[in-house]
Order: sequence, then structure tokens, then C-alpha cells
Amino acid sequence: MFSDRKEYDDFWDFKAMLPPKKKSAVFSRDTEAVEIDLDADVENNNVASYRIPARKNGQARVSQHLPTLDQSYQPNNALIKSISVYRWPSKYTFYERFLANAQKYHFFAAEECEYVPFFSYIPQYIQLTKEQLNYYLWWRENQRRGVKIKTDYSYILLYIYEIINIPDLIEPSVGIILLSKLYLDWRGDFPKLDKCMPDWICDYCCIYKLDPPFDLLQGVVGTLQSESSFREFFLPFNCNDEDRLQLALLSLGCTYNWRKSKFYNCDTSSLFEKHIPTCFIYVAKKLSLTDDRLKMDSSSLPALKLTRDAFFGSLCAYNVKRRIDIEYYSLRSSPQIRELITNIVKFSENQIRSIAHIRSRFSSVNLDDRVKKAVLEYFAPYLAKAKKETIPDSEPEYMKQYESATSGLTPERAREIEKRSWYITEKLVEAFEEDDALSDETYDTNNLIDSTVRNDVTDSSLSRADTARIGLKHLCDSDFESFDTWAKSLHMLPDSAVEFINEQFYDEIGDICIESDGDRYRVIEDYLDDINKLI
Amino acid sequence: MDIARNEKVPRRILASLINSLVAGVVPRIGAPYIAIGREDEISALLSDLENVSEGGSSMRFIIGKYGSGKSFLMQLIRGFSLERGFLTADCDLSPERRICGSKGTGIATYRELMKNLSSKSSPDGGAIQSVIAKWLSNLQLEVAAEGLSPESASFAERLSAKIFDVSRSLQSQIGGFDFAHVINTYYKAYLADDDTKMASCLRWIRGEYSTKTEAKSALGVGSIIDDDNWFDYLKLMAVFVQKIGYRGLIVFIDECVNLYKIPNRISRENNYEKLLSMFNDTLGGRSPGLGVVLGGTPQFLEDSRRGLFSYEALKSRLSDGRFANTAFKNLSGPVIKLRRLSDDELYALITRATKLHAQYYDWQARITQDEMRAFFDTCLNRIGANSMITPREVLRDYLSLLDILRQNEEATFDKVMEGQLITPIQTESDEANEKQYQSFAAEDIEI
Repeated sequence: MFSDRKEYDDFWDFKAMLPPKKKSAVFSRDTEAVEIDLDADVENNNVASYRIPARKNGQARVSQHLPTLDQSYQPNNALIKSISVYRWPSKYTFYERFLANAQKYHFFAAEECEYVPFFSYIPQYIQLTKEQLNYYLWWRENQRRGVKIKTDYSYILLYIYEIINIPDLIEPSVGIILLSKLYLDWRGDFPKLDKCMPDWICDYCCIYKLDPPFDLLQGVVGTLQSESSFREFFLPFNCNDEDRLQLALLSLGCTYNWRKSKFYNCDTSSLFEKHIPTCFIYVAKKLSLTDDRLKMDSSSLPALKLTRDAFFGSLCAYNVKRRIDIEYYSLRSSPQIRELITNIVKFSENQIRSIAHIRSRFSSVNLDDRVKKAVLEYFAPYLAKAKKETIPDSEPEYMKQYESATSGLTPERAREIEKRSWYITEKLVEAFEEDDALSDETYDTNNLIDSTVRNDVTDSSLSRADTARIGLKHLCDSDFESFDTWAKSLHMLPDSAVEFINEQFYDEIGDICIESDGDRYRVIEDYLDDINKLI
Repeated sequence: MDIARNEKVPRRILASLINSLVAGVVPRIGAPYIAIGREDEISALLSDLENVSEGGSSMRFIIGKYGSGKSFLMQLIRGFSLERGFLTADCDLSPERRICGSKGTGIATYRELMKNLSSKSSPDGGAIQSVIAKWLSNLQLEVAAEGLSPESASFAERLSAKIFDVSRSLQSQIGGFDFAHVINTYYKAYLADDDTKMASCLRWIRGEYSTKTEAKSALGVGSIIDDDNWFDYLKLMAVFVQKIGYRGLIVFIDECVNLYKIPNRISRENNYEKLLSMFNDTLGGRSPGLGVVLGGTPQFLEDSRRGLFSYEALKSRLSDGRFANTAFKNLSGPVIKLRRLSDDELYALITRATKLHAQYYDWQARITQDEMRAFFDTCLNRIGANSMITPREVLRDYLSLLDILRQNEEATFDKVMEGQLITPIQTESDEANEKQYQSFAAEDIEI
């Protein structure tokens, strides 16, 4: 079958059977035109076969898709070991037009004009109408001068993007000031800035080797620390200040925000602000010799690496965007340290509550005895002083309205009061008056009985009182059957009949004379004598 | 003291009154006879009753410290209301009885109110049955008065028509349709002598059905009185009792401090919201014939963290106006603030108690004015008395002293009070008064 070995081996060579691989063209995004000379090298006048020459600088203009190191340095922050800044690895260019426009408009002068609203999720110059552009420039001019006029969030973002993207025109040391002022001026009106500016300021400083402008941002350091994804960057300390290191430990390591305690108010805030940090420093210093967890030098903390995408979420041109690698010492990585710091703070707050005479306490704060002892040692003089100054329970102001108007006894006045009170007693006990008779819409039992009493039971000449006496007599004799018959004859239920009798004789006895004992109606024994006189 | 000379307190009332005072409880009967001070407050509440009887509605908060006389004032007005032809219902709130709540705490209040529904002839509660019975028998009398014979068919027709007139007029109220249906069912059961059905109707009115299914199968009504709607039915009851001849329905709810003590803020605010709704309904004229009186402590009203004033809507309605002044009273608002009785008023109370005790036991109290004064000073000079002394304690101790003197001929005031007398600090006016009263003896006290 196969004449020779080679032919035999070639049988298993599938390369001939496979379709040829298409060679992928070197693809450039460059759309600039290239001049060609059709007269030369044309075979048989067939343009299609003419080979288009390669771009002269084409290869150089395509971005490397491998990151290249821009710079690496150690910042002036004891918690950050090193920062490495890389050019952004990308095959493509982006936001070049924005960059060009930013460079162009940076020098544009502004004229005063009316406010024009503008909205865009990613604002760019090409989205602006002429009026919007004029207003943006006018607003930017005022912002540069420190004058605050009406603006929209999109205008602010546009200016931020401008500052970020033209570091060659805006010196970074000036740029960070502009960014910080912009943030401080508008964060009240646009709280969304709190979400993005801390990270952008951090990236800007890292890229251009700047220290955070704490003198400007001191009022918002708390927000910067809480909102930034890299909190360690905004800790205001240097390597030689041990107290500040410990405060940094407190700030980053404590999971409990004592400023949000329900007992943190205008009366107690000074106690909290004074004692929590001071007590922590005291305890940390006292225990650092024996407890490695509280040692404050960087070597005792775990080192972590963080990669940041600079200006994430913003509009950043390809040649400005950077990748930032940060090596730092983390205060947050150890749950044990964080638990210890948090418990120290909570135990300290318990002592502050004692000083402020607040009963409520954090329960079961899990602390080592040595740590508790250190905290109590710090608070001892303050607690002793607070005990001496026990605040007496004072009655609220409104209770004065419930005290008697006069004090002291004057028997004559008392006699007058007692005498006068009989008038109110009379008013309260006087019998039901005829003038207050029930209205026509309601039922007047007495009148009805006058008209409906049957002759075979009672004499028509009998008065209401006489009629009632009959019923009363039956009850006095405990003749309940006769009483029921008598009530029925008056077309009344026993309840109504009893009420009728009571009403008839109330004036004479001064009280009801029949009451129910649950089963039957009975005459009240206290008035038996009076009743016997009546019947 | 002309009126007092001729005033005869009925013996039964006097017995109940004296027994209550000796026991240190608020007297249910006879309270007008020891109503010392509080004239303005009583007048304000009486005018509310007048308003209710004319078809209006009222709501008052009686606020005072423990022992200031809140419950006494409420009992006083309750007794007066009963005598004047009102129906009354009273209850004390507790952890199990609230204005609003899940697990039946709201309906428990309503049930207690219905259980304690009282009329003049049933002053101790349980009047619902007698009220309806009286109404039916009065209707029968009315029909008979029109000349129809009770045995005739037209009598029954006419009677039914009158009952349906009343029940139809209730249908415009919330829950009125079912209420009218129950009343009609009660009447039919009454005619058929069906006690079981009548009892079911009363159960429904008292809010004792816990499920709609049960009520539906027993009475054919699709709704029950529950935690959410009990006040609507109370309003309906007020309209009903006015239609059947009473002047109105007065509801007394005491110990409202239990709402202040509810630990859960949401639950507490739900109760306050319900109170607000009741307040708006009554003072907005949407509860004809209904008067509501609530008793509570100053903390219940004015504590800005847990009291009624912590609920802004109630605070704006219940707080004093700009011109409020501790020196002047203003009783036109919904809140009556009870000051502690002054020393003069307490002393007047002792004087009254002496007279009542003497009348009841038919004896001359062997106690002089000086001795009464000495007793009073002893009470006032006890530790804490200046803020904590209450009429309850003073009366209880004083009547106990009188009882000892009455039952022991050889006992004298000095011997009984031995070791407890404190010489009061005499002022110039005291000395002058003492000279004036030195000639007084017990016989001079007129009854």
C-alpha cells in the first residue's frame, strides 16, 4: 500500500488535510490616511493586488496591553509601605476628544450669563449646548475665584474631570487644592460627592506623590476615612508620632462608632471627645509592653497589597488613567485586634456613663482583667469626683402646677371652705327636677302609666305613688309572684317596675329602696322602717 | 351653716361612705358629701354633662398626682350622672387593658366597660340587660297608650315598627347595621322567649365573641366588636342609649398611667394615636351623646419622652395656651389639672368627716377644735408629708381616731395620740385664732 516509509509517515500527517490557518491582520485603530503611489509596482494594472504599505509609526501608537511602571515610591505615611503607579494597560485609546477639548477650553475666558441647567451621567464638552458651555465657563471662572453661584452636579463633575485629565496644564499641587475646595464647597449641596471624591483625591495624591491637604480637609477627615476604600491613606500622622498612631488604631480598628451612641448629646459630647481617645492612648501605652496586639509600630501589623483602578467611575483619558499598586500595613485585617479595641471603647463608654449619671450600660464587655484595670485606673479620679457631685433627683418643672396653691392652715378659712362646700353637695344630690323632664322624644314612664294602667289591677283613682306602693308591699312581703303579676299588669318588665318604685320614693327616702341581689329584687333593709311607714 | 343643719344624709349612703373612708378606698356612694374644694372642676364637668345631654360630646383628662383626688372626682361625677339619667361605664386600665393593642388588650377595655355599664337602678354595673329590657317595656307601654290592646296583632306590628324605627336610625353609624340587627334579633328572641338567643345578643353587645364565624353562626352578623373598632361601637351605644330615653353615656377610664408605662414605643404610640382619634371624634362632634373622662398622672400627660406630650399631635391639642399661668385656673380646655388639696381644704375635710361620723353613729364627737388642729399638724409634720400627704390617709387615720374615741369611753385624744403629737410652730395669726377658738367645744359643731 505504501511504497516507502515516508509515504507511510505522511499518511498520519493531517496538516495537509486541515484547512490553512488564516493569518490575522495586524489591526490598528488608527484611521489616518496613508498615501500610496499607484503608478509604481502595479502588476497588470490590478490595483487590488497593490500592497498597502505599513504605517510608519503605527506600531508605536498602539497602546501596550501590558502595564508599564511609571513610578514607585514610599510616601510619608507610616502605614503605607510603597506605592507603585503603572500606566493603564489597554489596547485602545479613549476619551482623546475629551482631553483635547479640556486642553482647549482650559484657557477660554468666561462671560457672565444666565444659569442653564445641564444633566449628564458622564458629562463631556461635546454634550454641552452653546448656552450650557457659556454657563459652565462662567461658573468655572467663579469657582476658581472662590465665588459660589448656582450649578448642577454635572457641571461639577465636568470640572473635576477637567482637573484630573490635564495635569500638564494644571499643576498637580494646584490641582489637589482645586479638587479639595470643590469638594468642600459643594458636598453640602450634592452629598453624592462624598461617595466619589475621597477615592479620587486619594488616587490624585498617589499618582502625583502628594500628601493629602489635611489643613484644608480637616473638617471632613472623618468622612474621607469612612467613605474612602483606602482609609489608611487619610490618617493624619507621621512615623514619629506614637499618639497619632494609636489614634489611628482607634479610628480604624474600632467597629463601634461611639459618636453615634444614644447618650452622645450636647451635654455629654465633651466627655466622650475628651476621654475616649485619651483613655485609649493611656491603655495602649500601658499595655503595649506586655501585649503585642497593642504595639503601635508598623512591624507588628500585617502587610497587605492593594491594586487600585485610578479615578474609577470618572471620565479619565487613556494617557491619564493609571493603575496603582499599594503595599500597606493593615489595621483592619485582624478581627482579634478590632474586637479588643472595640471592647476597650465600650468599657470606656460605660465609665463615661457613670460620670454622667446614666444608668444604662453595655453588658458583658469581654475584656481581659488587665485591660479593665487599666481603663478603671484612667477613670478613677473622674469617677470619684462624679460620686461627690451626685445630682439630686429634681422634679420636672411641670409638677409645680400640681402643688397646692396655698400653704399653711388658717382655721377660719377652713371653716369657710367647709361651709361653702355644702352648696356643691346640694347641687350634686338634689333630686331630679320637673324642669329637666325628659323631652318628647324620650320615654316618660310615669305619664305612660297614668294612661295605661288597667282598671282590673288598680283603681283609676290611684296615683302613681299609690300604684308604686302596691308593688313595694309585695316585695316587702317577699311575694314575688304577686309582684311579677303586678308588673305585668302595668305592661312592665320587673326591672322597669323596680325602677318606677325607686323613682317614686327617692325623694322621701333619699335613696333607692329596692335593689337586686342577683336573683330577685329585695327591699333594702336599712330603709325597712321608712318603707313600712310609706306603705 | 343653715343648709348643713337641715341636711340629712340617707343612712345607707352614710354607711357606705364611712366604710369606704375607713378602708381608704374611693367611695362609690355618698361622694358628694365629702366634696371639699374642687368647685370649679366639678362645675366644669357638670357643664360637660349638660353638653352631652343636649346631643353633644365631651372628653376631659383629669390629671393629678397620686392621692390628689382624681378617682374621687370621677366617682363623684359618675354618681351624679347616674342620678341625672345618664348611663355610665368605667374601667381602670392595666397591662391587660389598654386603649389599643393586639392580643385583645383593646377589646378587654371595652368588655370591662360593658361589664360596668351602670344605670340609676343598677349602679354597680351589669345594666345592659336591664337597659334593653326597660326600653322594650317602655315601648310596649307607649304602644298601649296609643289605644292598642296588647293581645291584638296590630299591637305586635306597631311595637315592631317602633323598634325598627330606632334600629334603622342607628344604621347610619359605623357598625350600626349589625348593631341594629342584633337589637332586632334580641327583640324577636324576647317575643319567642328564647333565652339562649337573648344571651347571645348580649354577648355580642358586650364584645365577647372572639371570631366572626362564631357570631355569624349564632346571630347571623358578619362582624364582631374587636380591638380595632370597639370605640366605634361605644359611640354607637351612646347614640342608642340617647334614643331609648337616657341622657347619654359617660365613660370613665382611670389609671391611664398604664399607657405611659408601656415599654415598647410603637405600642405606646399606637395607644396615643387611638386616644387622639377618640379626642378628635368627641370634640369634633362626631360622638353625639358620649362623654369620656380619663384620669392620669402628670407624667402620663406631660413627660416629653413617654407621656402624651411626646406625641406631637396630642401635645398641640392638650398643652396650655400661651397665656397659661400657674396663678390662674383655666378649665375650658380638655385638661383639668388637680392641685393637691391645700391645708385649709384638708382641715375642712376633717371637719366634715367629724360631722358625718357623728351623724352616722348618732353621738357627739369627743374632740375639740384644738385637738383636731393637733391631729392635723401631726399629719402634716410627718416626714415626706409636704409632698406625699393625701386626703385618703388623713381621713382614714382621723376616722380611726374617732372610732377609738367612740368605742372607748375612757379614751381621750391625748392618750390615743400619745407619743405622736407634735407641737406646731405658732405664728402670730395662729395665736390670734387660738384665742378665738379657745372657747369652742365639740357641742358647738352643728350638723
